[in-house]
Amino acid sequence: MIEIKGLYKTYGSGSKSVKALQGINLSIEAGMFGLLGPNGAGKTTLMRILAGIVNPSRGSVRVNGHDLAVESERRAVKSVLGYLPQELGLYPDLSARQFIDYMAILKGVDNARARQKRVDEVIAMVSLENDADRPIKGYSGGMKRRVGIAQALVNDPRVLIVDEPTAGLDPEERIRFRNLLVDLASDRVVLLSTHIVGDIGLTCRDMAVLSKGRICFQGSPLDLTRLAEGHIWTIVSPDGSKPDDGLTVVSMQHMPEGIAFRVVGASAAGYPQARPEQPSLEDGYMWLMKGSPVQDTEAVH
Amino acid sequence: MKNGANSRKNQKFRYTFQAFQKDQFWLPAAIMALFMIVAIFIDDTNRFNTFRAFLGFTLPLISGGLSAYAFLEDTALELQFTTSRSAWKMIFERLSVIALVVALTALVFQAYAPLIGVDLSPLGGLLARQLIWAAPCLAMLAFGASVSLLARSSPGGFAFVGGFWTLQLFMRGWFADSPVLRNILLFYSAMDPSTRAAAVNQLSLVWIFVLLLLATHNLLKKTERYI
Repeated sequence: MIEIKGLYKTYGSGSKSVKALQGINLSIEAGMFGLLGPNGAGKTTLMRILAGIVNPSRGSVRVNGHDLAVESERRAVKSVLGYLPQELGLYPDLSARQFIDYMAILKGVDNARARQKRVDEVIAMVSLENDADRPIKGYSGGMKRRVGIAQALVNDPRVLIVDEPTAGLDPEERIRFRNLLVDLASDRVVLLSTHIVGDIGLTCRDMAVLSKGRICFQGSPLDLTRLAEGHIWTIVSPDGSKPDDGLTVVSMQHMPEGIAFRVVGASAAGYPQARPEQPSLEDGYMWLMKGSPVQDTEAVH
Repeated sequence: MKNGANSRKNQKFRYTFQAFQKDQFWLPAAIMALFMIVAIFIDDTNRFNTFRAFLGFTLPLISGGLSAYAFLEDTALELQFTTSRSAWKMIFERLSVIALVVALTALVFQAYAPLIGVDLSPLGGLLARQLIWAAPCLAMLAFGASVSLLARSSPGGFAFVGGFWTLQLFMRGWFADSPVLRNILLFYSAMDPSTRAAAVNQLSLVWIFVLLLLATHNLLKKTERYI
């Protein structure tokens, strides 16, 4: 449903230009798709291009068969789009219900009765029923995020793009929201961009990793996890000294016998006490970011 | 069906109004109140000039100033850009709210005139008098919107508006003496009302409004400049 071919985006020109995207090729079908990458990798630029608010420098993007380069087709895409930006701005003097209703009107939900029903539905989906009529200026960060999620859903979008949606949500809200996304993904494209590895692993069937404007991995979370097989160890250091020799510490834990370091790297030969571990998705991501030999889509599949 | 569409439009207008920062609407009211107070204490000869100054000189500045803040101060601008409505609709929604506020201010101020014994007929008949403020306000409405988008900054746009207005204010004699440049002088019809030249000036300002509105539309379509 989303077809991206040879996508480039450069901001500015000359010596001050920034290459945000450099030749992205992606094909995203209905279901939940995760986009992972470090800050500054180009995720938000890609999301904004898909939302039709940033123009690519080169390449083509088709959403549901509509070419985003054509103005009329871009509007057609926007009419079936739900978008939650990373930096969400709301109108503080409006209540959540008014804000969501306003967004529904702007998105062309014309029938007043149907709109009211839908607004009530999405308010219930994000559990804001008890606070929906209070001005947004009195909301906590998590509640504002939930308003953002509700407005993205109000037009029952066929394509839902959510950029760092769980930022600011408490653990319970995060779980509820993840489940909601999975539920919605049963019959539409849900594109989840995040740097929280766990959110991707628990929800997405397919994913891609973006780094420095390039796709450096595309496959399933399991594929990414497998990349790190044979590259994860636990090293217990009695004196607490950090393992080196090109190893990256993923986590550390104080134990009675010293500090246990979970490390990722090419080889732990310099540490006889190193114990091999089963990799997690986070380990796979770390191994990839370290510059694992497998760096492109073709190599994974 | 028609009722539903009207109700949606009314609701949208109400939300658009609520989404504006409220101090933008206190500003014209506060300036009007100041002129009203000044008009009470000033001598009879200059009282009429207070009304002329507010309607023909100050209101266009207010109009341009408010429109400079019409788009880029929107806290939910990125979300607004993801909706499928056209840039024209967005421009109409924002600028019509400002035009309404400016029009209400002008009408309230004129209604105040007879209460303190000021005769506004030297500015023309009831309708002609409205053109004295409406034409320059429209031109400044589009000017403020376009320059703020061009500068990608509301304060930057306001600086352009203020600079242009101040330039015209201090050089109004020079502008008025030129048969060409007087057509872009915002204050011309307030300075020389009910003349053919004033009518041409008003027509010219309306054309400038249309051209700047087209420029605003082209600029607003380049959404990535503003997020």
